Amino acid sequence: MESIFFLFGLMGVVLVVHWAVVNDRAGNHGKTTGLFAMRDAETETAKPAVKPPIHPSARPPQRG
Amino acid sequence: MRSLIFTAVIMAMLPAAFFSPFVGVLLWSYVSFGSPQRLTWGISDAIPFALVIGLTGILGWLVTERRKIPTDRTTWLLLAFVFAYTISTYFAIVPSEAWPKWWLITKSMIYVFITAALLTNRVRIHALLWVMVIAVSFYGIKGGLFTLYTGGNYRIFGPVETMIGDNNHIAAALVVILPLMNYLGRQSQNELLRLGSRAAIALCLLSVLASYSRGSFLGLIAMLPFLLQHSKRKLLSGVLIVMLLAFSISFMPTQWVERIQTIQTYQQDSSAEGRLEMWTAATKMAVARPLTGVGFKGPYIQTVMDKYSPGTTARAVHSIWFENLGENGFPALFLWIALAVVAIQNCRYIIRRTKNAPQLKWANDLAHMSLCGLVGFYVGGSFLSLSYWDFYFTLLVILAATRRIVVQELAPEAKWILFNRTAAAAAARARLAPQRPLGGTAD
Repeated sequence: MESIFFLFGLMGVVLVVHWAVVNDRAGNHGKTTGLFAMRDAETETAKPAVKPPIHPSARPPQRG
Repeated sequence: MRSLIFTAVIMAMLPAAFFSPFVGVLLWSYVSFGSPQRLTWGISDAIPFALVIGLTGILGWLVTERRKIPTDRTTWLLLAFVFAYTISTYFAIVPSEAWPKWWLITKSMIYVFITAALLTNRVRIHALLWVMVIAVSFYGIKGGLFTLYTGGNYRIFGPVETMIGDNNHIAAALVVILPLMNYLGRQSQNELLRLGSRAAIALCLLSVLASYSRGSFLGLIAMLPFLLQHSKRKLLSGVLIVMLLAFSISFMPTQWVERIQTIQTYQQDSSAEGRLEMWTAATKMAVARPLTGVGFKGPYIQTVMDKYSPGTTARAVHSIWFENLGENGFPALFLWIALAVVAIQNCRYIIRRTKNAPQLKWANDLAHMSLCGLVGFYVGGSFLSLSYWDFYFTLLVILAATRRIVVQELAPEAKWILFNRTAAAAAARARLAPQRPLGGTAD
């Protein structure tokens, strides 16, 4: 059992190293990809938001 | 088999550590904080992994990616701390015992400085945190499952002959990583990782309790208000945390409850009394030698103890504060405290500046969770000897690097705000100025 955990840990470190090398160019702004991809501002804002109600005066005039 | 796989994997990654020295930092952190090599037997016994990885990383840093070590308050204080304990070691009462410990700590400190130099972006910070958490949580997850299986009747220990080998030490280490795991879970896009981090937190929490460490239990309790402070739904989070803690405590046997209850009756407890005795002895040592203390390992040597505190048995000081004071004197203690103050200031600065910056939410989360971990460490560490824990120093440079990134990221924004303010002030001045008719003078 301990060996399995040990291998999981080792595999985890290898994956993190790989992720760090691949995503290093993303720096502070870019989007990260892969297993350890970080949530970024874009991901946060991509969530469906509730539409604010439109004020009647702002609506386009109806024809007919 | 384990030994062969471990050796093969590390050796295969060594070239990467040379060409990309940050890989060296990650490997060093894994080997240094988790000591996985202690869990292997065979071919890996003959290889000094830390030394091999360390030298490859340093060589890579010098040749392929030579970045300057940042000159911020954290690195200056760390440098001053190294200088202070080196002077103390030079004047140590038993140099033959002090110098080996000096070397053990200094080689970790060298890597802390290299880590500081190479932590240049959020991806690196995030990756390093993952490695730090994986390295230590391995013992927490394993210990948590063991506790579930055995009903909490046995104590949890860390890897033998390492800084976190003792049950109190591994518990303190787990207290520090609990909020960091929460940060990593919150910041992960992958749903499996988010769920996994929650499960790992629960298991590590069980391990903290199963260590039977009263100091770490206090650290855990001290951390909770800070955890709640960050939560958006404070009531719900509070109820959940209390339920999780209550469930974990109810799982522990009566002997655990009896042990924790001795916190209230510490005057009757020999272990707690022994700690008070050692703190007094460490203070006496520092008063007798205020500038240098007695040197590393001094409190562990009976002849030294007999000289400064006759009648006290030489052993570990069991406090991050008094250990520093007794071994290295007042200057080193003040520097250590200054480092702690700067770390908390860094957290507070990051939290304040990133409150309304969605692109820096990761930094806000990290600062909040690190603050929780630091509080847990300072409270829990007050009862155990972990003053020179490299994991802690690495966390300090991570916070300093995060602060640098925040300053850098918000600089254009700050300039824009300043420009707007100046323009607004000019407009206001223009409005207030006496109106002159267009195309001519007033008179």
